[in-house]
Amino acid sequence: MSVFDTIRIAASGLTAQRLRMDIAASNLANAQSTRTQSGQAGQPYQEEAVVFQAQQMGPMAAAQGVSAVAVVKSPRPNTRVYDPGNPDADQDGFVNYPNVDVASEMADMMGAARSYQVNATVAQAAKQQALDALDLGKA
Amino acid sequence: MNAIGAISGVSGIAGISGISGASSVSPVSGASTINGAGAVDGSAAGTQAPGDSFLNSLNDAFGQLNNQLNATDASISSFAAGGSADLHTVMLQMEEASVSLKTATDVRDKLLEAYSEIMRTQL
Repeated sequence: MSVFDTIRIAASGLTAQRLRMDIAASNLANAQSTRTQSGQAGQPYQEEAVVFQAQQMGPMAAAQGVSAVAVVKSPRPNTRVYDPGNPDADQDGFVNYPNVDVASEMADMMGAARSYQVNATVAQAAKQQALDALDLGKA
Repeated sequence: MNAIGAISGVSGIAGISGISGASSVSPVSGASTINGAGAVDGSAAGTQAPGDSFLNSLNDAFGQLNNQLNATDASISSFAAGGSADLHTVMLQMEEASVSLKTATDVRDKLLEAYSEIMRTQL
């Protein structure tokens, strides 16, 4: 098991947390988007979540990195707000707002940032380990 | 005597020290230098089989190091050009390359140290 495998596992974690952060940013940015990308009225943005899966990185099966395998839409129902003046209001005067829970998204964003830090620390420790091993050769 | 023969073949490795110049991740011209190390293999082949395999693996290691430095160079360029590479990917690749380079220079230092130790032998 090369020391670089450790670094690569940590790197996969960093990439995964970056994606989680991207998705959290997307959810927070679109918390009030009443239309999807296609521009259709009445179909608000849907909250997204990343699905992670363990994945073997090096020659050792037990040492696994992580990869994002899917981005799924949250099944939570949309928030309906009575606002007849809104151009996206339906016949009854209700506007469908995204099912984004801003508080939980903020928590998820903080989790992603902390997990990123953790993986960066692991990479640093693995590198320090390699340098310590090299120091064994010093007189 | 055999041992001295094997080690004297190693003196050609000093040519590989040109690789340390690649630490600046400048255009790596080290590839030709490493191919030059193939000549070391050839000269050592006649002396001793174990020494030969050691030099082979050393040569492989330097080839790998060169590939790593080239890959780092490429990803830095692509990142600087606004590519989609993640910052941490580039940074970790650079760190991997720097650890590899440090290993290579440490191995070279050890070899040269052994060589000059042998050369100091009073006959």
